[in-house]
Amino acid sequence: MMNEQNSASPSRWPNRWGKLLASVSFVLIFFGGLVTTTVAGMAVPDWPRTYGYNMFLYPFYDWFFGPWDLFVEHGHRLLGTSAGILAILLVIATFRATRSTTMRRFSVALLALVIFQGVLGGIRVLRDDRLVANLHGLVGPAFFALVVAFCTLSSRWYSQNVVRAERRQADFGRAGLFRWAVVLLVLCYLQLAVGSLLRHVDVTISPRGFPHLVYTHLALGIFLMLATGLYWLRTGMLANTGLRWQIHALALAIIVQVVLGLITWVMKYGFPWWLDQYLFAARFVVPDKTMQQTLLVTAHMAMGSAILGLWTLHVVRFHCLRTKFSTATSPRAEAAAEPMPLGT
Amino acid sequence: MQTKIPKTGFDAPTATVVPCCRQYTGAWIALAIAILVATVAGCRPSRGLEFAANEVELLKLERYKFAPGQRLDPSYREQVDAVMASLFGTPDEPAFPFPANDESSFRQILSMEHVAVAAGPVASVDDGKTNLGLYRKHCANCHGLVGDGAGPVALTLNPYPRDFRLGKFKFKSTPLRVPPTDADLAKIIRHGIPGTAMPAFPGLPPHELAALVDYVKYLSIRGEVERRLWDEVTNLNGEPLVEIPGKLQTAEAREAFRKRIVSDPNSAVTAILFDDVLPRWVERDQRVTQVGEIPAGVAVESSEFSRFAANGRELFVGKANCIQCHGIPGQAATQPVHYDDWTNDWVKTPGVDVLIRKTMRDFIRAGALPPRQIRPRNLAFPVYRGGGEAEALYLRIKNGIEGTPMPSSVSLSDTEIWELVAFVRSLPLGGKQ
Ligand code: HEC
Ligand code: HEC
Repeated sequence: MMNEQNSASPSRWPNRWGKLLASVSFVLIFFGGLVTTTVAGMAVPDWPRTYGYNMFLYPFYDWFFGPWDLFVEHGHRLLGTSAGILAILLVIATFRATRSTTMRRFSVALLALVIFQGVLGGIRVLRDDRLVANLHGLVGPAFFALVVAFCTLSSRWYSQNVVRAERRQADFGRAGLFRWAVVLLVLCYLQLAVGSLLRHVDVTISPRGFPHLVYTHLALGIFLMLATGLYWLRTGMLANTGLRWQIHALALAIIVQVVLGLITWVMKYGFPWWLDQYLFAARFVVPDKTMQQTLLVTAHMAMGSAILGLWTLHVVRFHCLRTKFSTATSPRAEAAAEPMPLGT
Repeated sequence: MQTKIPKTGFDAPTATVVPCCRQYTGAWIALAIAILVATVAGCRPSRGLEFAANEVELLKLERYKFAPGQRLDPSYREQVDAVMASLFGTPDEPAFPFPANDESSFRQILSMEHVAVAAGPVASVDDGKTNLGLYRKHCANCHGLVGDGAGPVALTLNPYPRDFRLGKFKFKSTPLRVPPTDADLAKIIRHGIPGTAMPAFPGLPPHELAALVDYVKYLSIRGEVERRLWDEVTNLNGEPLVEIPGKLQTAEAREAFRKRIVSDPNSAVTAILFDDVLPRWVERDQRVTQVGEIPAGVAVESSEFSRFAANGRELFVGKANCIQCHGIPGQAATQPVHYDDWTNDWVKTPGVDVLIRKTMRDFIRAGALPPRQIRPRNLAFPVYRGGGEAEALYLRIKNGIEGTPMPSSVSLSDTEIWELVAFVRSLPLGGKQ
């Protein structure tokens, strides 16, 4: 049976394409963030063409060495298209590698989502609409998180190591912790949604709403930080290598993210007035659209997606472990429960 | 048992892992299509916007001039809206009430080419080389589409972003009630205002900076004219301000009406434009305060400095009475309660009391921002929002800071002002005088 499974030699391609897609999506999200941060969304008025050119035929020199706004907007489009192509390859690889309807549908859903996202981006440009911009900014991270989930489900870790490595652990099946992880994942996405609203303000709206959004974002941020910290403490009980590194990474990332969030505020709106009894605050001038501001603000936004991806990875792995345990009588779990050589 | 292993290339997850994919595919697709349809059909693009009327000003005038509860006759509203739309156009299609005469000096006030570049939705042309909609791109989130200082993020900032519609600016080289020069505005936009949310825009190309300067002037003049029009119509008793020629939907119709208004020498509107608001913007360059020669004693390194600063100190605590607001760093001081002119403009209305929120409710509903005290500058830091050069400090002390309690020093001689400059500069040095 061992040999049987080894000789089936699981195709690595869905996972490889998945990982590449995840990386490209992350860069894509960063570029999307740059577009919003520098208000470059309307730098190319037409879509799907770029100044009348087919997107891929737009002169490289004019793009790469052109004005910043054109550089980020057109770059974002090129990256978006690459993500679409990768998603197609992912679907092909998945259909060749597995008969699992779940995974096949998952890959098709990813492709559908990336197309949907591309069309949203187009509508955003053609209609210059804030609501669509918001939606576009929210589908991006969701797509990234789903690609991460796909990678996890198609990974070697999932198919081989899981039960062997974790069998000894009795603790990780604790429902309480898992539920926490799911709640935090959802809240994290909610936080991204609020952040997206903060970034896409419409000049016509009344100023009354914005402070509420700011406080919500702040409160949720503090809550997420504390809750992630608690989660990190609690998971000391999970001597589980397959889960632990993500928790460490999350704890670190959320601290970085809170700091980046504060920096973002200062970079855009200056220090709060009650700090002006300190020289550093009193003399600070908001440096608008400088590289420093652009990168820091965009880093905050991209870090949000990274944290969402980490939570997704964690939750999916956690879920896999739990279901494997709770369905220990299922044929697959039994099969996998047979001793397995390490390092296959 | 082997036969039960699913024939998959890799170990596929059980349905429990991603249950929603399997069961609700149809629902997901329907949701996606619904969102797409809703977004394509439903939302309002950022084009075709209109300038909001200055409701706060109108409410204030009604409180001052009318019996309680009485509101302005709607026909006057229509007239003011029509006149404003014709004189100044819309956020996307700006216009300006230049007089019919091409030679007129009013034409120097601003260039409509500049205004057109700064107006409208954010866009680029010429392969991204020309940016349009600069004001909405860089400024409107704080200063608001009409320049009312009440953009979407305004409430989170202190001080609030400038409301341009009063025509008052703080950091300028001209005396009170004289508008700032182009160089003053450009300096503020280029370098920002430390300690406030007003950013520096170091990367703006010069022509974009010039366009934004002109757009600030445009919004400011537009706001001043509107205020005076409301004042005018609240004085009328039934007779029309102007006869509106039907609907003014198109830019051409508005232009025709604008030409008619500006060439009618007897109308109240031309009086407001050409006798009141615009002349001040033409004269401002002639009315710049001359700083004269800077005495050596204001330089910190100078041997004269301590004498200057000591004299300045006498003035600061005595004749000039700066101490009533600023105190001397390190010494206990009472902070007087002050509001700036943008707040005082409406909180002085009869029946309004800054301490009782209820009395301000109607104004806040009309768009006024809740009053916030203005704090005199902390002079312990060598940070000056209008610039720390000797000339800048001289101008601040001589002319005061428009719109704020900081007074102009009419009774002080030039030397005394320079002595105050030296003293102000000595304060951050920790009493070295
Ligand atoms: C992040 C918010 C913000 C943005 C963006 C912003 N401003 Fe300001 N601006 C302010 C604030 C706040 C003040 C008031 C500072 C004060 O009262 O000391 C101000 C003041 C000003 C003033 C008045 C200076 C004076 O002397 O009174 C001008 C002119 C001005 N801004 C122009 C602009 C222009 C033009 C842009 C766009 C290129 C812009 N601002 C963008 C917040 C902003
Ligand atoms: C009635 C109160 C009041 C008095 C009297 C007063 N100031 Fe001020 N001063 C202010 C306020 C308020 C500000 C802040 C204005 C702003 O930028 O909003 C200010 C700002 C300043 C600044 C900072 C300018 C900048 O560019 O940042 C200086 C310097 C200054 N005052 C000096 C003086 C001197 C010297 C005197 C005496 C001649 C004086 N003030 C008298 C209220 C006052």
